[in-house]
Amino acid sequence: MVRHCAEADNACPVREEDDLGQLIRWSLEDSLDGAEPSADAWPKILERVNRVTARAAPRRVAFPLASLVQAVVISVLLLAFGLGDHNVVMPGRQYRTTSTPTVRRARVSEEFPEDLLRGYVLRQMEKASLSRNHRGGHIP
Amino acid sequence: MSDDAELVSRILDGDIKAFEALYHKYKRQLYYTALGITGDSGAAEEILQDSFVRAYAAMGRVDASVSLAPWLYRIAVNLSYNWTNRHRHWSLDIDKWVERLLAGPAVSPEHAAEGSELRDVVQEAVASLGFKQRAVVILFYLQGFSLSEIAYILDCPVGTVKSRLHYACKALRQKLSGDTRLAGEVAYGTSLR
Repeated sequence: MVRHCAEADNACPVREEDDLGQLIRWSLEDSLDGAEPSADAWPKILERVNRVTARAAPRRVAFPLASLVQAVVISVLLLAFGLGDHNVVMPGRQYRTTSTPTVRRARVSEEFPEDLLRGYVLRQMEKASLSRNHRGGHIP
Repeated sequence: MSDDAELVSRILDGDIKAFEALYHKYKRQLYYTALGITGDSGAAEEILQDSFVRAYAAMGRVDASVSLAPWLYRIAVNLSYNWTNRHRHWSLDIDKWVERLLAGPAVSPEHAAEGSELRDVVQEAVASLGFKQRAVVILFYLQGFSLSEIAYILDCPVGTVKSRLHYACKALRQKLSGDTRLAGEVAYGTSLR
């Protein structure tokens, strides 16, 4: 193995010529000497890559039908309720009314003073008859 | 345009031959890394395949102006990490264990002279390290990456890589010094300080 330790990394914690380093390197290289991935590794990778590509391909070319249906439905609803003259959601301009604040006259305001006056008069008459009965007793 | 950049450009155009060329360029290095980290040839091959499938899927996002090697290693090391987490232990091949058990504790001088015992001891010591230290040791000693490249591959600061390498070497030194099977290592002139 070729070492490509950058110059900036020369401050290695283990020196290049360290016996332990040499021993580790030699041991690892020796243990892996001749080790090779099997010949059928590449065909397997190719098969998996093709499978992934085949799965992804329809996704790229598929027509977005659901989105189209949604867009059409929304458009139709907007046309029907937003722009039509005879609809219940938004009436045409000629049918629209503007509301202005008004003062409403209540019916009780007319009748109540009359009742009040009548009650007052009755009350006064009653008081007067009472005072006549109590003061000095009954004079025949 | 670098070799890798040209390959990436051709791959993005759907040229599968370019992808095959990329595979043959990096397959051995990635396989060694995965095998060094996991210690399992079957896992290493699985990781190699997964690495290239993932690389193909992410090819559109890669910066082709620089070497692809660190990026590919990053994928392979991440997959090795996942595998290690799933298996939780690093084991030697079963046939190696059987061979060792049948051989018995005594080591013949011829065997030692071949250095296989020493190699196995070092391998076992490396295997006993945690994933993070082991990955640094493999990338530094076996693949010869610089500290900054390892930092990119492992997605951590350079200082962390230095620290991991330092403690990994310290642990290896202790393990090898304490291993009684290394009595013959003096014959190789290797002093483990």
